[in-house]
Parts: sequence; structure tokens; C-alpha cells
Amino acid sequence: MKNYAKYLLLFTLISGLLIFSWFRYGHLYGGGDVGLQTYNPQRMLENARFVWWESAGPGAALPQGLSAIPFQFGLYLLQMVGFSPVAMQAILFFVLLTLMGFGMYLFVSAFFPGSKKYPLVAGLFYMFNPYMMIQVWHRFIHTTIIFAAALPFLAIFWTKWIQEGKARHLLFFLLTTFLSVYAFGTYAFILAVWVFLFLLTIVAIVPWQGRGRAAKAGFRFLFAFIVWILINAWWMIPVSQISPAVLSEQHKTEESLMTLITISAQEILPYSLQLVNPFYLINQADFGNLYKNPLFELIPWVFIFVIFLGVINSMKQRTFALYGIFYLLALFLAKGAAPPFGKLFIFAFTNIFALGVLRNPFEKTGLILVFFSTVMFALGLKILSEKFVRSNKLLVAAIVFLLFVFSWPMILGKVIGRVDAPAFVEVPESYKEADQWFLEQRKTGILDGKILHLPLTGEESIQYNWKWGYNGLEPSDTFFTAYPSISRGFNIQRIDDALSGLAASFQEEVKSEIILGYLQDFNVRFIVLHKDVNQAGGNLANPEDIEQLLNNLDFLERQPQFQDLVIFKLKDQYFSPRITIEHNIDLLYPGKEKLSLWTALVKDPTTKYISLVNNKDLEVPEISGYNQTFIFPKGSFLYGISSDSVSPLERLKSSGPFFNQTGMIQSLNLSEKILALSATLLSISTNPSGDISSLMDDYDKQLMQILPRGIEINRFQISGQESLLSGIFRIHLNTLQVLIQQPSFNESNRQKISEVKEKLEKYLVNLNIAPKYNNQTAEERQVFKFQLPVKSNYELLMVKPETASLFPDKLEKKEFFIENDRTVLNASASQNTMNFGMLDLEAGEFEVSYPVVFSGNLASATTYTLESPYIEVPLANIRPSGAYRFSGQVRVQGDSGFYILLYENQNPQPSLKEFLQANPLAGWQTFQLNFESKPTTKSAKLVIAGAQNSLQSKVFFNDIKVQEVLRNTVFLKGSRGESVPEPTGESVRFSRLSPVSFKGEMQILSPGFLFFKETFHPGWKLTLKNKDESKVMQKHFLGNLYANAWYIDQAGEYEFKMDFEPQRYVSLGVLLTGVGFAAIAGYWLLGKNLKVKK
Amino acid sequence: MKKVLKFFIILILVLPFIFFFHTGFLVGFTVPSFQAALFSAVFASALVWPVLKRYVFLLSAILIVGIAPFYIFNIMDWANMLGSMGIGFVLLLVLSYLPDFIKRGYVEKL
Repeated sequence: MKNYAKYLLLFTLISGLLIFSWFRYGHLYGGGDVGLQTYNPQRMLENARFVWWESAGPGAALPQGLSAIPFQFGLYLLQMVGFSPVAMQAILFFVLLTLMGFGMYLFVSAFFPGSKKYPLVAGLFYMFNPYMMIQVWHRFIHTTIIFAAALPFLAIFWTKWIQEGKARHLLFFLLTTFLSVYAFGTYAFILAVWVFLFLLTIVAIVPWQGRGRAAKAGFRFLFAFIVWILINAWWMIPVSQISPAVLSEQHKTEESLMTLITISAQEILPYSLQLVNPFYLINQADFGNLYKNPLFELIPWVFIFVIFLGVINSMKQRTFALYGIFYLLALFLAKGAAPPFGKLFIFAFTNIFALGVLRNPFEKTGLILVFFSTVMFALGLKILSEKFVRSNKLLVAAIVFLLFVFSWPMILGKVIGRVDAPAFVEVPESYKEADQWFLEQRKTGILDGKILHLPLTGEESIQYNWKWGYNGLEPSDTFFTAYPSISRGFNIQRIDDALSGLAASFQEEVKSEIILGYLQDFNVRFIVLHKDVNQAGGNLANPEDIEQLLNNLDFLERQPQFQDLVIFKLKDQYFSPRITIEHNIDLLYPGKEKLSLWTALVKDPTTKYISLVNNKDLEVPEISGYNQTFIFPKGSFLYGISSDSVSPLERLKSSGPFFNQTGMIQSLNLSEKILALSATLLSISTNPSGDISSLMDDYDKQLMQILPRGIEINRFQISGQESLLSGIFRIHLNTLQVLIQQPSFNESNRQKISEVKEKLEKYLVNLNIAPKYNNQTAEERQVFKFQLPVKSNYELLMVKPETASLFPDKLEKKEFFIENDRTVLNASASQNTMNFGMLDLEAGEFEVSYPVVFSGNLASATTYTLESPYIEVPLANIRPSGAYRFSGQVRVQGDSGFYILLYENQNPQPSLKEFLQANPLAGWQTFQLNFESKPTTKSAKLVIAGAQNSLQSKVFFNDIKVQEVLRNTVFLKGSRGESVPEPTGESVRFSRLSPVSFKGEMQILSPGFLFFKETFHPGWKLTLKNKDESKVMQKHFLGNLYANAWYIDQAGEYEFKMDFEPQRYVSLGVLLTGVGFAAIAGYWLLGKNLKVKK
Repeated sequence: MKKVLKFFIILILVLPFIFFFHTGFLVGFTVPSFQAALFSAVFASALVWPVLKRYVFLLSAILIVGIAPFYIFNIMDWANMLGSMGIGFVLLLVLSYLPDFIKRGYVEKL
């Protein structure tokens, strides 16, 4: 025990020195995926207690936050004692570093009973290896740091439990998992830890010592697993109930596979053996170019040599043999899909559901590799020093020296952030002052409302121009504690769509009443304008422009300014509470459209919208009292081809290497099949005189293989361009049509071709990539497909009327295809839409399309010659969220093509970079590139750059055109004529019991809607109580496309309660956790009792 | 003769699996196909003539050590090829030693 204390002291000292080095300037570290975890643990703890995060407005179900409770509680205790955020962070890292080194020392000690030297080196290796440096500390993901610290202790207690079966070891194991439960906020670590424990369990069975021994180990594994689940039920049950739906929204299978293969391509064996992530160390060179120096590159190979010496020798030693095998298995796991046998990993990844979390296997299972590497390293060092070297002390010292040299960023305190830009964070004092001001407001009795932070990022992260900069998770919900903050996206489509609409409304051209409508619908009371935001980091609007806009809005009052933070308050008479009763309702079928279209709909701030929860639902809800119905397309796409674009087959062929490189195996297979199918059709069309029945059968069979999977490839369409699948099959349909009319074919052949053509047409229509009414025209059309709930008169409307002036005739007479009829409709502009007259339409499918039209040329010149490294094409009158086409003729001389780059606003990074190939022998060739501007774009330029820096190369351009393409959505409006007068004298009063529970009273004078302005979630339940009768309301709708709305069909006076039901799972989970502890206590007592009896 | 027959039988049995695990059946005159064929042959040989295992181990060690110079001179394709061959051989050898591990917990003679 004394010995252990000595080494504990040693690791404490080493960790202390590291912490001194890291925090010598007294700065907090932050940013990245974790933000500022130690800035305000009390706030974090308040959030984490509930599965509904109210503070991150407009609210979101984030059950994984629960697992942060023990971690944040520990920090909260430090905060209560009076530690600053920096001190808390330093203490946290100090404890974790010590645990890493000392834990590994303890684990490895069991293998070297006579020596303390090798366990000590093992502890140091575990602390200072390349993986710890890059993947743990540099990546700065707290779950990984905690997992790394807990792993050796999990191994110690688990091994003892499995070997000896003593309940106290299981209890210590469970206690370790409880204290490190924050690590499981990364779900993949649950899988990683159980794979790891399973491997350690094998040690108790192998060599085979009979069934009894195996059964015992099996029982202990199972028992511990069940108790572990029970003890973790307090956070696992809510997570399992809420997260799967969220995760499925966030990640799609082929995207996951693509990530896996892309990451595995980086983690090929030369890197994974070194425990190195080349992206940070080599490609980005976050620690400078020293790691590209051959001498420095050689250092990890010394460690590999020692590890492999250990692996080879382990095979002959009973104590170590399995650990050698586990090292190889961990290496196989961590390298993912990289060779050798990488396809086995892909097979398991795509077929075993649980493995789906291992999209980044090196990040998620790499710590297991580090763990077994450490054991092998200690063994290898022992072999090396005892068998091959005379002075083993010198050898050990030399190896430790190399470890320290290679990990110099850790030693010198440069590991977090880039070596030239450490991830220091100094939050301006103004944030505290502003928060204090908001808390004062709360004290004056303003309890309801949210703070909107502008410019609003649609993403989760943001960059600030603070003293040391900031780049990471948007932290406003941590800084501002008085009210919820609407400040960032959630990577959840519905909420992000809603926020993108809100963000887009703060532009000069948007009418003030629309902005007011937004503020009211999102329950905004205050606006904080961040003039310290770094615009270059995202699609953010200019804060100066926003300030000017806000200053001119008469429903806002400017409040005190705290340095770069300007506060605005919505005047009390305009504020709309979190819970309201609404009667002025329109029914909305949003289809696939996003809320950013809302500006086209809002007539006045009092109109509210309700939608069915499931976008696919088309029933007419059994409600009354709504005025109008708006129906948006269920699908829209570009169909047909412009004369100067590349053939879709050529585009598909050229996509092959991309699919191959990025690991889109399904797309690659599919594209190969489509190319083979096209070849079959070509052979049919070039063989008109022969017997084509067998060829046609082949074509039909191949088609049947492709059709069900076609949608997968269709996703890879370039924005603003006809989809690949649509383009290819449009050509097929035309070819089949020609074949039907071929006189040399007999009737049965024609019949067969006709059947196949019909099948293909039907499929493409169902897939929403081809129009139902082909109109026998190949011209480019924007097609919209609708699903109408009822037969009615609908008005055809088009969004963005302000764009009409850019196009021929100001769109006053616009040609449309109304199903099968080509017709010209006259437009009349209303407040926010262009109206193209009434249509009498049946219920069911409806299709409308219009030929694509182009604006005038936005480029000032039409002829360019590329001789210098690049030329600039300024774009006049570019608009936000516009669709554009860049086209022209090109002739290359001594080059293979050219780059096109798009720069928007003042951003130094291009938002688009494409290489267009051109044949130097082909003379003048046409080219075309489609692109879309960002929602915040105000100015832009195209830059054309040569492919080579050769003086001989020249590229000539002629007939250059940059045109805006009319792609405005059309939608339908049906008037129901049921406008209900707004009753006067209604009231609603409520109080907030917690973020997941509200109660109140209301008086409603006629049927209407109760709006609750938190993000829609089916878990929110409204219970109404009228006298003695209490009922849970069933008619739950999407309000204003993001919030909750319930239909109340009877007037009356009610008491109401609104609860987020999944919070109950936490109570259930806590109960099961109690059962788990009781089980382990019972097991312990039973064991003691048996011992006494014996 | 018997051993040669046994070798071919094992080769035929393991070949499809190794091809699938290593190439996903994307067969062609490519490095992975060549590697898969070699893996199969080495694995079958190791099972039929255990005396060869030692040499395969040695070869693997050379291949793994061989990664370093290619890596340092930034010839990554070769470094990766050598590494995957070396580790592939080691993994297959460990598989061939599995009965020893289960019985004794270690390998008496490499």
C-alpha cells in the first residue's frame, strides 16, 4: 500500500506539473464540440436535470444531458466553494490526468509482481502516447477524456469481479461507471466499454478450465451487465425512449457508411499502428510542421517496435497471450474499414444495428487499442531491457525521454487548440453584465419570454472575436441565465428549419410586421445583438446591418449596451406570451418546404398556422374555425435539359471515382447497373432489324433490379440541376418511344417495349423525379407535385414576388403546364405573393410546372482570357437564396480544365469550388455550372483559376453568362370562408412549475387553439380540467411549423396542465437504479451470510 | 501428396471468405485481390505445414518494420500495402493458433 501511495504521489506530481504548464497563463480552455463546460456548472446542472432543454430556445429534447449530472454536480460543488471556471477546469484535468497514469500503473502492476519500473512506464505511456495527445486532449471532447481516465479502473475492478466473484469488486466497478457516466453521453462508448469488458472476461475462461469455470464467468458477466443496466436506468431509459427518433433524423445509413470509409481511409495501418490521427497531426498540422520532420516521424516507430516485441513474446506467455491477441483485435477494430479485411468491418457495420454507432471507429474504440498497446509496451520494454540491452535503466530512461519529446505539446501546454492559436477563451465581462441586467428584469416581474441572439446561426457552432477568439458550440444559453436563449441550431431538421426562417427575417426587404410576427410567434421578449461575432465563420448576417434595421423598428426599445452586446426589448404591448389562445388560424400542408417561405405567407402578425404533425398526412382535421388552407408541393424538381449541359450519362460516369473514393458503395453499384442498363438499351436501338425480345427481357430484368434502389442515387444531384436518374431515364424513355415507332419490329416486340416504357414512366413519377404529364417536351421545367386533401377552388400563388422584375415581362404573363395543359396565366402581385388565378381542382394528385426562365446577364463582360493565375467575374445584383447558372464557351490551350470558385460577401473562403474539365483538342466547348447563393449573401464574385501554373497554358472564354434562374415555389390557397371573429374577453394565465411542467387557467369563448411556443414534441401533453372532468387533449398539431398547438373544441373555463411526459421515464429510471443497488447489496449480504455459515 | 490435397481443400474453403473480407468481392488485377489470394495461400499453408508459421511470423515482422521507411519517405501506398500484409498475416496466424490458445492459454512454440 505504501508503494502504491508513493507512485500515486509521483503521478500526482507529474499531473500537477502538466497542469501548471497548461494553465500558467490563467486562461480557460473552450470551444469545439463541448463549448464551455466549466464556465457555469450550476447552469449546466439546471439544464441537465431535465430531458427537455428549455434554456436552448425554442426548446429541445436532449435526454443525453442526464448523464452529465454527476460530472456537473462535482463541478458545481467546486463552484459553490468559490473556484473560478479556470480553477475548476484545472482541478478537473489534474484529477483526470492523475487517474489515467495511476490507474494504468495499478492495472499493469498485476503483471509485473517483482517490478515497479514497467508499471510506471506503462502509466506514463498511457498518459503520453500520441492517441492521448491528439485524440483525447487535442480533440478536447470531455466524454473521451473521462472515458480514458475511467478505463484502467473499470479493467481492474471488472477483472477482479470476474476472477473472484466478490460483490465489493462489482460495487467498485459500478461506482466507477457511475462517476464516469458522463462518458456515455457519447453512445458509442457504451458499446466500446462492453466490447472491452467482454475481452477481459475471456481471460477468465481461456485456457479452457471446464464448463463450470466458463459458466461462472458467464453468470458474472450477465449478472454485472443486468445490474449495470439497472443502475444506469436513470439516464438510459429516457435516452432509449427519446433519442432513437432524434438520431434517425440526424444520421442516414449511407452517410454513415460514407463517414466510416472516409475516416478509415485516413486511419490506414501506418497511422493506426502509431495511434496517430493524421488529420490533426499531419494534414492540418495543428502542432506545426515538426511532425512532418523525418526524425520526428521516426519516434513512434520506436514505440511500435517495442509494442510488437511485446506482442510476439506475449504469445508464448500465459499471462500475456490473450492481451497480445486483444491488441490485434483492438487494432482491427480501430482501423475500421481500412485493409486488411476492412470489408468485414463494413459488412458488420451495415448489418449489425449496434455497430452503426462506430462511424468513426478510431475515435470510438481507439482507447481500447491504447489500453492493450500499453500492456504490450510494458512487456516489450521488459523483454528488450532484459534480453537485449545491458543497461536497462538507461533504455527505460531513453524510451520515456522519447515519449516526452514526441508529446512536447502536452508538456509545453500547447495541446489544446492549435500550437499557434491555443483554445484559450476569455469571455468578455460584458456577458456577465448583460446577464445581470436580464436577472434584474426578471426581478421586476418579467418572467415570460425568450432572448433572441442575432445574428442567429443555423448551426450548432459559432465564432466570436473575443480576446483569444472563440470557435465552438454557441454558448449563449450558458451565459444568459434569466431567460431561454434562441441562439443556435440543433442539427434536427424541424427546429433548424424554423430557426432558419426566423434568422432570414432580419433583412431590410422584410416588412416590419412580418418581423414582429416572428418575434411574437417565437415568444421573444428581448434581442441581444452580438457585434462581437466573427462573420467569416458561417452564414451570418452583418451585425451592423441588423443593428440599423432594429433601430428603425418602432415595436422595439433599445436598452443598455454592454460593450459589443446591444440589447433590444419588445414593447410590452407587442409581446406575445408563451401560451396563447388563437382563433385566426390558417391550415397549412407544408409538404417538403421549409419555414423560410413563411415570409411569403404572413399577412399580419395575428394569423397563426397549424399543420398536421406528419407531413405525409393529408386528412382534413376535424376542426373548425380556420380561414384558409395553404398547400405546398410534396415534391419539386427540375426536369428536362438545357442544350449546353453535360449529358447525364457522362455525369454519372464521372461520378464513379467519387463514389469509389468516398465509399458510397451502394451508389457505386447502382451507377454501374444503370450504365450497364444504358448499354443494353443502346444495343437494342442499334439493332433494330434483329430479334430484340431477349435483349428487351434483359433490359426489363435489369430495370427491375435498379428501380427499387434508384432513390439512393437520386440524392446526389447537384443543386439547381436535373437529377442524374431523371436525366438518364428521360433519355431512356425517349429512346423507347422511338423504338415503339420502329417499323421493323413486330407487334409483340412493340408491345413488350410499350409495357416496359409504361413501367418505367410510372416508377419515375412515383419517385417524384419525373412529371406525370410529359407534354412531349424536353425543355427545362420546374415541376411541382401536390396532394390535395379535398376538391375545391384553389388560387395558384408564387413566392418571392420581389424577384419578378428580374425576369422577362416581369412574369406578368407566365407560361404554365397545368397538368396536361400548356397555358399562359396572368399574374397579379399581392402583398407577399404573385397570384396566377383560380383553379378548380379535384382531391388527390395535382401537378403544375413552368418552363425555366432566366434573368439578364449578371456578369459585366462576356469574353475573358485566363493568362494570369486567376480572373474575377463580379456579380451585380446577386440576391440571397437565389439559384444561378454560370455558362459559356471555353477553349483551353495547354491545360486540362479550370477551377470555378464562388466568394460570397467578404468571406475569404470560397463557398463553392468546382473543377470543370475541358479537352484542349476539342476547340470551343460549352460549359455550365449551377449554384445557389446563401441566405445572407449581399455581394459575390466568381473567380476562374487555371488548373496548372504553367506559363504556356491559356483558357479563353466566350459568351459568358451568369443568370438567375426562376425556381420560385408555387403553392395553392383554398379559402374556406369560415373566418371566425376573434372573441373578446378570453383570458389565459399560467405559471411555469419547471421546464417540463406548466399549469394555468383559461377562459375560451369559442372553439380555438391553445398555442404553446416550445418546439413541437409528441411528449408534450395538455390536460384540461373543467369542474370535475379532466381530459388529455388528443388533437395536437404543429403550430407555426415548429410549436405545439392543441384544438379545444368546447368553450368554457378550464384549469390546464402541460407536461413533458418523457420526464417520467427519469423517475422510472431512478426507481430501477434503486432496484439495481438493492440487487448488488443483496448479493453482497448473501455472500457474507454464506461465508459466515461456512 | 495428402498434404497437398489438404492444402488445396483448405484453400478452396477459405478463399471466398478471405476475398469477401478483404475485397468485398471487387475482384480484379488489383493489390487487394493479390493480397487476398496470398492471405488464403499462407493461411492454408500454415494449417497444413505448421513449421511454416515461424517463417510467416518472421515475414510479418519484416513487413511491419518495412512500413517505417516507406512512411518516412511519404510513400503511403507502399507503407499501407506492407502494413496490411504484415498485420493480415499476423491475424491469420493467430487464428491458426486458436486451438493452442484455448487449450493452453499460450503457444508453446511459435
